[in-house]
Amino acid sequence: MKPALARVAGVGAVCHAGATTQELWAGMVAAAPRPAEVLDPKMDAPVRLIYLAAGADTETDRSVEGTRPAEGRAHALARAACEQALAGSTTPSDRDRVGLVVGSCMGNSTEAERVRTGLTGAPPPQWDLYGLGPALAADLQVEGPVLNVANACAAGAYAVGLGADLIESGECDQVVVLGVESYSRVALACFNQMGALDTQRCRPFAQDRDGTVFGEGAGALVLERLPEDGPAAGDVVLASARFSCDAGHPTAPDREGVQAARALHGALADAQLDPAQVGLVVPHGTGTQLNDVVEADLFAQLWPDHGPGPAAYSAKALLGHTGGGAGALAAVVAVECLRRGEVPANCDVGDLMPGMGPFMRRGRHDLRGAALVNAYAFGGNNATLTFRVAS
Amino acid sequence: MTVAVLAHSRCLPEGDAPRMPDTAAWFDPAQWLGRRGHRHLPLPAQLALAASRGLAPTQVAGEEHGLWLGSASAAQHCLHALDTRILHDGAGSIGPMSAPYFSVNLVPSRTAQELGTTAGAMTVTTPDTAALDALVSAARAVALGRVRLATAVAVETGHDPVLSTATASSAPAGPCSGAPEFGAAALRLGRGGGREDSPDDVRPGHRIGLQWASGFVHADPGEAVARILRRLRSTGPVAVYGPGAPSEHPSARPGAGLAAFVAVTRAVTSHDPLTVVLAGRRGGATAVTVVPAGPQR
Repeated sequence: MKPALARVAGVGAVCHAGATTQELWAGMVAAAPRPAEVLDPKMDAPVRLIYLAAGADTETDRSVEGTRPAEGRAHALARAACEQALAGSTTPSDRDRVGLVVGSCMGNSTEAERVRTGLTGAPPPQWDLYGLGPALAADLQVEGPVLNVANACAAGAYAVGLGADLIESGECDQVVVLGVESYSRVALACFNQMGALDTQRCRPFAQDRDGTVFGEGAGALVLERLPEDGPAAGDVVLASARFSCDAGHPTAPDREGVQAARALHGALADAQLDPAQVGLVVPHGTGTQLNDVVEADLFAQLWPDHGPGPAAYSAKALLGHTGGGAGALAAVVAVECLRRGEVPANCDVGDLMPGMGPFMRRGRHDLRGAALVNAYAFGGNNATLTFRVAS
Repeated sequence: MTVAVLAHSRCLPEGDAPRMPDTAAWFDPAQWLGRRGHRHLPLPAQLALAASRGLAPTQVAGEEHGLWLGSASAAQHCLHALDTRILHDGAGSIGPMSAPYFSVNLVPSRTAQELGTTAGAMTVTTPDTAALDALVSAARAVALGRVRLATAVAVETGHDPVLSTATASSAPAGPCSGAPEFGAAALRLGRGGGREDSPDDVRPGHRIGLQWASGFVHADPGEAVARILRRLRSTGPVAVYGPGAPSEHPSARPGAGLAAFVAVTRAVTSHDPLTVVLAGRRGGATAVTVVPAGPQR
């Protein structure tokens, strides 16, 4: 039996493409994202594009559909994604065996910034900048370990890996893992100052890409301890999760991608996967200059002849860069592709950078083999996850 | 699960008072970090760096060495400064050196660079309990063999003044209240077995073990503490920290996350068995038991 860390019992998503995983899939098939300008009156930076979450209140940038009175924007996105993910699973009777790991870079910044602007008074009682974990634990009646991890744009993928650790250590039988991000003035302003934003749309691996474009969204997965006799045929399993750190430049990735490659190769080795057995990669690819070059080089190293190379499906070309939500949403996309046995066509990003054409396919195709998710972040944080269908 | 504590370090004012400092006035970056190379770092990153520099260098390869930073307040510190600047002077006024620090995981970045922790660098921000959550997460990674060596750093830098005013009504009173804390501390963990570094002030031939438990109880903060202690099967001395701890609890101590982390380092130094509980105001609690272990094999 090939190794696996956990069974994926359910997934959920709220993002630009839709407010459910079914809507996300329909959005992947339609491939017609529509970024818009943020309406924050205090946001005076030149590039104001964002891929708002489905159901977002575009009049005020304040709430999303279904938001409860005491919830902030990120909280509402995250709760909805978690409830979807849990809908298909059976919660253990011993709730202190259920854990929760939240990946988010900016937490409840949407509300913090509204307070600072004077657009709203006090936030809800016991509110905290990173209060998503405790708030969601209360929503979902989680009584095991609750952890917030803020590894920037890789936080969602780190949440998946840390959730698997809670199962492997014997502390939990089920862990809800998620990544979430909502609009943040500070993040958008700082990316403007770093010259890292595209003025058109998010175009990962495009020849003339010019930066990224942020998006809002939450992706959630329910991980469960594997049965003693292994997963049932057809179950999607998290096969491996590996992290690494460049420990170099604070924001730029290592040009040689040494540590990113180490995480990737380690994840493949842990899952006992040969590169030829990978049918899908959901890359980190942000549309920023250097990140995409480093990741494209990893593709070239692993699949030098492009055949039998995997398809690369860019979730960011559809959803924008959802920051701490990105790794988890990419994982949801990978799981949905594995369950359906197909990969939709990528959104059109224009001419592709050299070497990426064979991977970033323009048409839909059947998926055979495992799925791999990359997530990279400021601070040189790298993560690679692998998923596959149990046989 | 048990892991070994190999070394510890604190970046706190001289005197080692039990109550954590409530300002950063005592911290002179030049004294702790030298005169060059740190001025563009925000305060939380400087404190984390200072605490980590107190640990002895390690011979363990970076690919087997991970870094975990826990802070419930570092992001508040950085984001408040950046947003205040945007609101007063416009987005264009943010300097290129400070712009990346909207992302709180930049706080451990320089520390990761200095330590060469290419196995990973984790930033934990759970409200109230981040300091011990980072320590426990690091211990778990060591126990599972994800890393051979882990450095856990706790750093706290007060509260966002606007947000803490707005949420003041929810802050509990009493010795465990969430008063601001300014400082940092670090612990280095390993699997034991004699291959890692020897800590300076752990008795030769002995190692200190850590055990842990973490959980969430929605009904009553006091019950959260009791349940965590039951889960740990703790029977020895207990110290309870954090804004979620009942002030009437017999083991309640002043302070929050940093105080709890420092209490662990003190127990390591004194070789006293101690269970440190850190309780958040919304029902979360994380506990670590320091177990003086026998001679290493």
